Amino acid sequence: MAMTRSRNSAFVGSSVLDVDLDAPMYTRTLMNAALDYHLLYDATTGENAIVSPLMTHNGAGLGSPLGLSIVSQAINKRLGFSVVDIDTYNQDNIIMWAAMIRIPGGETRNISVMLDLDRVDGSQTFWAELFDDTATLLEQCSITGPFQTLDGPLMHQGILPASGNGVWRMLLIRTNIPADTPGWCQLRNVYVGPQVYPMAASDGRVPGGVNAYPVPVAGVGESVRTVPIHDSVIDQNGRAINGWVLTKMNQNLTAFHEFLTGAPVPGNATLSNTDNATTRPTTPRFSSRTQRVFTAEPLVPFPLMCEGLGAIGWDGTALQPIINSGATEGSTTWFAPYPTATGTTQGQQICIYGPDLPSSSGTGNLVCKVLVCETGALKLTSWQCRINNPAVGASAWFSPAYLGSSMFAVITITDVPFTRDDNNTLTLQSQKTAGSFGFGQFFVLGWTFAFDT
Amino acid sequence: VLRYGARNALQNADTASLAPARAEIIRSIVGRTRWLYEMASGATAVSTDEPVAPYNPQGTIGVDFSGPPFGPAFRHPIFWMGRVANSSSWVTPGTAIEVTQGGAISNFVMQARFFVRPFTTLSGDVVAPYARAQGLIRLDASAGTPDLSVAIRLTPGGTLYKLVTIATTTTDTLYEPADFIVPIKPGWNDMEFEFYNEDSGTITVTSFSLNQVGKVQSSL
Repeated sequence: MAMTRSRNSAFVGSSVLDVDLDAPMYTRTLMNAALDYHLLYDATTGENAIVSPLMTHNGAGLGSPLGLSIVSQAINKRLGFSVVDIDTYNQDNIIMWAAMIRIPGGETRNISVMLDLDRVDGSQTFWAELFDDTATLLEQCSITGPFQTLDGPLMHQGILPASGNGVWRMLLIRTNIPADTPGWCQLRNVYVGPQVYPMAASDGRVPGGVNAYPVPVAGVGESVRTVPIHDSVIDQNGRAINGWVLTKMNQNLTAFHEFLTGAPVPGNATLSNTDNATTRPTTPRFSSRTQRVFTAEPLVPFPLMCEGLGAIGWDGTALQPIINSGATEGSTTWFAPYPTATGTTQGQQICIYGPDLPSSSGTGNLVCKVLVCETGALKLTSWQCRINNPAVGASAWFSPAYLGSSMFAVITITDVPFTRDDNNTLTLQSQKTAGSFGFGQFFVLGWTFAFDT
Repeated sequence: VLRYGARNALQNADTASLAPARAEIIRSIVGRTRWLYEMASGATAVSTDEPVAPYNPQGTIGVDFSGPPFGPAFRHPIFWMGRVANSSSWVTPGTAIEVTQGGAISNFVMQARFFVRPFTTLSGDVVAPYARAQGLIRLDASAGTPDLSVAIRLTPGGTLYKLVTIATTTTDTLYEPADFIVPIKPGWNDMEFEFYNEDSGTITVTSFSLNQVGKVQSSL
């Protein structure tokens, strides 16, 4: 028989009756275990030309969703209202925060929108709205509180029902202005993420001791040391079960246990495998979806960073800028920024750690979505944005696409210049390709980075 | 028919050629295969049976890359603040944090309330991979020779946990201070960062973020 390595197309397992104390040990039981293991190995690493299933962490049997935060922004700004504002903005149409958000694939939990803020008074209300890419309203919720979070601070909270995953949505957080009551609210922090409640603290360690259960150590250039169990040695009509097969199956499982979980095999005190560097290991020993060893390793949905940049008003017919209103002491007021020149200008900037994930198009594809709007000037299409990273360079320029017939538009920047597993400074830049600058043409409401797998 | 799931490993002596043919051998091999498959897939491997893999700290099944035994911990940003980089060509809500000794804003207190996705905490003096966050700061010393000090309090208005100082005269530079590492816990965190300048000149914090360290030494 040829040295063929097979795998099951779906997990088979074994009947408990086949592994009971008095049960005979059948080759088919061992064969299914080996073929299940090959399926597990291939689905996790992307090796051996597997197409499906791939453990993409998109839920539904393809790995647990990661539960990463979508927005975790410090703002510390005042949104002030004057009597003029109240007259202009129809009292209940201030968009105090807006951005595109990436809802990761497989994330079916409700979306929690939480604000750390001070109200001007009890009659001021807040709510969140979720729109699709035609600016059609999908979901809406009130943001109420403040509530006491579990072992944490007081926060205002709203819950948006899930409305699709693996998609981009426009999220607006809105507030009203109490009638005839000039004032302000202080917006400190904004959090958006899947509705996750931590389980009770648990200790994943096992009692110390020696490493009694042998784990094969990965060699140079290897991520996990396992050997294929060829069909010939688990053929039901062929050889008897022997010690070599059992030993290799056992060691495959112990090696894969460390690779997948990052934890020692139960009974062992420590890991037998370790990465060869804390950052940028050339041969990571664990399933970390870096594609540094396994080039077809399935990638995972990964929201990276999202910021709303300022408020904008709505007078009933068109979006209107909010500028120079309210208090200015301490933290300054909060309004949507805009460039004042048509050439290349520097806008919002952020410094963050960039995960060890591939970012170029066709692999990981780190994408930036910039939510922009205009005030009815209909000049948006001649504006463009790009991302500049001082350590890497600038992306190409990209133009906006309107969300349906609304005054909102999205600029999608692909191939964001990015250094993986390192600190990155990312800067939004704008330019206008035709015509002169005019107030009201181009406001930037928010920007968002995600690995758009 | 029930499927078997277990997680007990075997020693080489258990699987050697002349070792006794105990049921534990095949039970371990098929059981751990199922356990690992469920850890990877996040679901029961057998539709008629409950999963044998455990719930992870966020309440789903299996590996979610939140730290061992639920996969290696993914490093990623957990809290951030940006600003407009060049206000001369943009009309903006203003620089984020500009502190000047004796100026209108001599210090700035940032209340940092953020959610950390759940991870497995460890007992004793062992530090879980997700239990520390590294501060990143981009600074712009626009005049003079300022020193930026960051007083870190782990509860608002609480006692000082750590004072981090950065001396700079350069413009627009990224800093990753080795001592700007703060402990974080699963779920909601409520901290306070007070930025101030005790030297001459003006300094601006142009952007700031906390990022999970991922691989942590117990000395941190």
